[in-house]
This record gives sequence, structure tokens and C-alpha cells, in this order.
Amino acid sequence: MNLQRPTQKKFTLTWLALVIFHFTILGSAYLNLGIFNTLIIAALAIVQMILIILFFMEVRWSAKLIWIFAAAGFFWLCILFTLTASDYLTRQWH
Amino acid sequence: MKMPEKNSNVAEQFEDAQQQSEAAHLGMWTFIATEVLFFGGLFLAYFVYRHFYFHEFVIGSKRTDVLFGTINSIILLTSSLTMALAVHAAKENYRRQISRWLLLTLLLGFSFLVVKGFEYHKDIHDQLVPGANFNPALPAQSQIFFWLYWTMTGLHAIHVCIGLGVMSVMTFLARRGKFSAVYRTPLELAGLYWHFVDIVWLFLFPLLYLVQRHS
Amino acid sequence: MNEPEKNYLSAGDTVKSWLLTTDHKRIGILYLLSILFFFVIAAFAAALMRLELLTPQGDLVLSETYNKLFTMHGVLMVWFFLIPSIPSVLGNFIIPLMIGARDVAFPKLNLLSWYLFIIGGFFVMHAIIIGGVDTGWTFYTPYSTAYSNSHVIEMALGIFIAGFGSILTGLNFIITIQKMRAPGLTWFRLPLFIWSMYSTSLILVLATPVLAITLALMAVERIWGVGIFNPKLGGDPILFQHLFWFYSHPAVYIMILPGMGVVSEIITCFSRKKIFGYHFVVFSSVAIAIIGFLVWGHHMFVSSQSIYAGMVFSFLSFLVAIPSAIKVFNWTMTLYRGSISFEAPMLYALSFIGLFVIGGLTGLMLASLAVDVHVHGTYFVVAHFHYIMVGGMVTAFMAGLHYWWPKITGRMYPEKLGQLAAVILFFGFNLTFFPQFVLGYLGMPRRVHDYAPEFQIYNVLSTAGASILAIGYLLPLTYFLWSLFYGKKAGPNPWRATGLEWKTSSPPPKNNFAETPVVTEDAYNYPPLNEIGEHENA
Repeated sequence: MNLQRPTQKKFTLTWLALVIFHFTILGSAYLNLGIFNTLIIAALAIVQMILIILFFMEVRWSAKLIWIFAAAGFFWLCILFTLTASDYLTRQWH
Repeated sequence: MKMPEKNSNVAEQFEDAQQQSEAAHLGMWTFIATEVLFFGGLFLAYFVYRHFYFHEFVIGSKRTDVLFGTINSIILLTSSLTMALAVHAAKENYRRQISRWLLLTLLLGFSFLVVKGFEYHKDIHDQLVPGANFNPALPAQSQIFFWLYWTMTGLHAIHVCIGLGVMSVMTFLARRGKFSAVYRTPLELAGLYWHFVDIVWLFLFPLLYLVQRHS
Repeated sequence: MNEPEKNYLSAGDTVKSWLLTTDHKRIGILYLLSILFFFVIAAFAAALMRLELLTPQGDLVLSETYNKLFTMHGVLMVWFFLIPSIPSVLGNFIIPLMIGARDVAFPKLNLLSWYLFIIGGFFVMHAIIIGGVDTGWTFYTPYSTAYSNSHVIEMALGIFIAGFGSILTGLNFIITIQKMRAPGLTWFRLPLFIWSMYSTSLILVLATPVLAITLALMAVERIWGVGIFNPKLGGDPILFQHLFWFYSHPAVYIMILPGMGVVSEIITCFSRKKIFGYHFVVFSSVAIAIIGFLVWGHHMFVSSQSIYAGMVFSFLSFLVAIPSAIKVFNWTMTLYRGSISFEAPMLYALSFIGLFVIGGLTGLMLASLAVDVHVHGTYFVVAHFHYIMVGGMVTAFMAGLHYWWPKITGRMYPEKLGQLAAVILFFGFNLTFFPQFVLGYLGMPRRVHDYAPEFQIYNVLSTAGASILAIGYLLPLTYFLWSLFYGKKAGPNPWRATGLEWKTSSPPPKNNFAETPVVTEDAYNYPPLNEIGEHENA
């Protein structure tokens, strides 16, 4: 079914990338980059998550159905966040 | 009604091992989706209060210990690697490597808890527990930050403990030669769970430890 | 066990063979008996409340007791009767049969679901016995966390545990439907009950975890004494409501979608016609499940939620009307020029449609911001959701129970009594709850044990209706029991219905089918009228 197979080397490289991203996140937090502090951290954390899901959890080599199931939880999480934000971002707070 | 001869690892309700393995994987992914939403409620609370009390969150976040946090991140990332390698060893039928990688994973998971324990000890000593004894030098709303810090890391730690329990069973089974290229579904499911716990931490770390560290 | 005559009931009659069973059919029966137990207790609480409301003064129970009664009624009815009713009883029993499988995908997990349900039920019952809870089933903060002097934590723990039971049930159904279908049973050949159960399971799996974390946070806050839902520290009680309704609104659809599935089966069978617009009904089920997640804020129009969010949620709430209306339209079109007969399941299904339409239309009224401000917290809301949950779901559950009773037990219930009970239920229900629309519109608040004297006439009508409703429930209970011993033996297919569940014997053998069935045609392929005779008991 899968022509491309996971190898020890691919896993180790994934780990290396994760560690590098981790220290990038850590380092960036100590620089004053304004709005980009949050953006960089958010982007890299999501990249880390995607790396783990694709490689460690082997979704990259899995059937399309698994992709859908893996994405479903995050999709519903977005619903929760977005619609709650529609309240809090438009509310008077004191 | 005679069932056709089947692999002893295939349960009665399934036609073959492939159907069983696909069903089990799909089931685990469904479970992970429920876990995403389970943690999601806490993350939502975090984002709401971070939005309203950003200043207090910055002050609170600076009281957390980045060193402990970083060590634990590396420990968990590495344990995810060893877990992936254990599953890989099973797939390639390197049967003796399986339990070695699993033991290493177990060890790393356990050290995560030990480090977290030291960190909690320090946090308590620094009066970072919300309530009557909360550090008076900090603004009141920082208590919300620390309430979330404790519940989020606590819930994560509970998941690590469950993971260690599962991993112990897997190690035991692996040592008895249960897993191979033919039969490895439970091992793969345990792996999926463990990686998920790792992912949660990768978000907890920047959200709790790194809110405007530079200021 | 290899003898084909043995069925799932005769495959063992020790207590152990029931309590350790992994057979989906037996687990369905276990659920049936347990939800019946909770239903009786919750109905008893309702009866006490209706008695109290006979007079304007609070002369039967104290206001404190009244608070505990409606909490108990709500908690038990929602989590321990309605949510498991069609999914865990009929779903468990019928889904594997309908898709031609030997069992669900994870039979042991299925049994675990039941045990979690029972353990959860135990905690809830214990909390009730040692003094009860007075927060209402919604557990709003900060009352539940800081002020209530009742057994909130134990009750929440019970719901938390039972919640994991329903998560596992939903998970099991999703994987079963994905992976265990018989050869040839493609997605668009599936019976509509399966589609509605799949949609329901999506909600169970994706919404229930949020309830779990919400109740957990509430309990932690109560134990710890500080927390994020209490304004004292700057917390926002409305956040609890957001999280709670993110679960509890979709949960309302857990309490109607399965009913819609049952009704689709019955309408086609007793009109001897293919469902009108199969694909539309399928997509409307999925659409209800998904849109159901986008509307929770309509429970919070009068909280301090922002007015902008109120408008968004109001608009989204109206969208749910579209798939619901599609279903009603398609059922009606299926009836049109069908060869209709009025057996008890059909009578229940028809009253479902009528009651659901009333419940749904009043739902639209409540979804409009201005009307909701007027009737929020009144009996109008109570009447509305009882039309959906009781008029809809319980009626559909009764419909399904009558329809599949011959399959489950191998015996027919007495038809004339069944028809009588269906009619009694319909009239009793309307007499109980229609006056509550009027009461609510005139301004009688819910959850209060005394009221202004001018409301008395409507309350008397409602209480009178409730006693008729009680007969409507007790009558089937009696003749179902009677039929177990004296009912006419049912063949494999007493309704001459399509669907794989009717292709095996009644009651089905332990492994459901002698050999795995192969499907070659669409669902509801009812033959044209003149051919019916030849298809008898195929």
C-alpha cells in the first residue's frame, strides 16, 4: 500500500527538527519582536504538532480516512474557539 | 455455525486481521479527537483570560521556571522518538529492539514526572498556588493564570501517568515476545496516545512559560 | 452454541452470562432495563412537581425541595434516560443487525460503556438519596461552585463517569458503521437509522468531552475554593455557560436525531414506499449534527454575552430549521400516495411528526432575540423543549420499541392495546404541555414552586394531562411484559419490512446471521403494491 516507508533515519530527523524548533521558540521569546513574538511561537508550535502527527504518528503513510479523523477534533476545536471569540472579542469588559 | 479458521489474534466479530487493525486505529484516532476537545475546554479558558488579563498573565508567566520546562520538553520529545522507534522496530520485526525502546520511553516518561515534581515543589515554595496563601506580591488576577497553570499541567501529568501505565503493560508484553510485524496494533495505539500527550505539552510550554519573556 | 435454533436469549441464562456479556443485543437489553429504572424515578419527581403546581401556594413541598426535584428530574431524564434511550438501547441492538455485522467493532468496550453508565448512575442516585442537588441540571456557576449547599460534586462526578460511557458508545458506533458493513452495503444503501446514529455518534464523541472538562473544572473550583468562573478573582461565569452549552446544545440533537432515524424507518415501512429524497434525508442528518455545534449561544441571549454574539447565534440557530424542515417535508412526501396502515409504531411515528413540528416552530420563536427576551426563563421554554424531547424523542423511542419488539423478543405486543396507548400518549402529552406554552407566554417563570393565582387553570390542565400521560406509559409497560409470555410468536419479519435486521430469525441468533449477508439493492426497496403478496415473509 505504501511505497514510501518510514525509516529510523526519518524519525531521527523529525526529532532533530522538533528540538531545533523548540529552541527557536524558546530563543524568540527572549527577543522583543512585538506582535511577531506570538505569531512565531504559534506558527512553530503548530508546525511541531503537524510534524509529530505526520511522522511519529505515521499519518503521512496512512489512509485518507485517518487524515479526516485526525483533523476532525481540531476542526471542532476551531468551532469552539471561533464562536466563543465572537462573544469575548465584542464584549465590554470591566 | 462454524467460523472459518482465523488467526488467534483476530476477534470473532472481524473478518480478518486487516479489518481489525484498521478499526482499532480508527477507534484510537476517534479517541484522540475526544481528547483534543477535552483539553480544548481548558485552552479556551486560557485564551479568554489571557485576552482580558494579558498584563497579569505576563507577570505570572515570568514566575514559572523555564529551565524545568525546557528540560521536560526535550525529555518528552525524545520519548516520542523512542516510542516511534519501538513501533518501527515491531514493524520491521526487530523483535528484541521493541522492549529496549519501550523501556527507554518508560524511563523518559518517568523522569518527566520527577522533574515536574521538583518544579511543583519550587512553585509551592514560591507561593504560586492560588488561594489564601497566594504570593501577595503578585496581582490578584495572576491567580487565574496559576489556576490554569496547575489544572493544565496537572491534567497533562495525569495523562502522562496513564501513558506510563499503558507503556508498562506494553513493555511486559513485548518482553514476552507478543509483538511482531504480524501483530503490533496495541503497540501502535499506545504510541498514538503517547505522541498526543507530547503534542499537548508542546502547546502548554509556550503558553505557560513564555508569555512575553523578554519584557 | 453451534445449534442454529439457539438465539441470543437462550444462549445462557445465568446472571453472569448477562453481566459479563459482550453480545451487543444483550447489552442493549441491559441498557433498556437500566434506563427504565432511571425513567421511573425521574417521572416520579415530575409527578411530585405537577402535584405541587396544582395550587398556586407552595403547599406540598418546600421551595428547597422543589429545586432538588427539578434538578433530579432534569439530570436523570437527560443523561440517564434520553441520551442513552434510542442510541444505547435500540442502536446497540439494531445497528449491527442492520449492517449485517456479527457484533459492534469493540464488544468489550461496549460492555464497559454500560458499566460506566451504571457507576455514574450509582453516584447520581447516591447524591440524590443523601440530600440531592439544587442547582438545576445546568450547574450554573458561581451558584454551583460557591453558594449551593448540596451534593454538587458527587452529582457532577456521576455525570462525568456516565459521560465517558456515552463517548465510548459513540466511538463504537462510528467505527462499527465505518468498518463492519456487510459486502455490498455502500454508504448510500444504508438505512436512514444508521445515518442518524452516525450523526448522533459524532455529537457524542465531539461534544461530551467538553462537558467532562467543564464539570471537572467546576468541581475543582468548588473543592479548591478559588477558580476561574467566580467574579471574585475576575473570572467570568458566562465562560462556564459557553462551555456547558457547547456540549448541551448538540446534546439536544442527541435527543432528537436518533428519533428522526427511527421515524424514517417506520414511515417507509408502513407506507410501503421508498423514502422520498433519500440523499436529502441523509445530508439533513449530518447537517443537523454539524450545525448543532454552531448555535449554543442562543441559550445565553439574556446573559451578559455580547449582543453581537447574540445576533450571530440567533442567525445560525435559524439555519437548523432548514435540515429539520427537509426531513418533515420528505416524511410527508413519503406518506403521499403510500399504502398507509396504522399499526402502533406508525401511530407513534405520525404523532412524532406533529409534535416535532410544534416543538421546532416554537424553537424558531425562541431563536429570535426579541421573542426570547420576552419568554426566557418561562414555561414557554419548558414546553418547547418537552415537545422536542418527550413529544419527539420519547414518542420515537416508543415507536422504535414497538417496531423492533418482535425482533428483540420474538413476540408480538397486542396490537389494539398498542394503538390505544399511542393515542393516549398523544392526547396526554398535548394536554400536559400545550397549556405550558400559554403559561409561559403569559409570564409564569419556570423552576418556581408557587405562582400567581390567575395561572391556576392552565396548571390544573397540565397536571390532568400528566396523569393521562402516565397511563400512556404504564399501559405499554404492562402489555410488553404480558407479551413476553403470552404474545403471538413473531416470524422473522412480521412487518414485511426491508432491511437486514428482518432477514434473520426473531430473536436473532448469538452471531446475528447464519452467514454474512450480501446487499445488492438500495434501502427501502418496497415492492409495488400488487406484488406484496409474493414477498410475504421472505
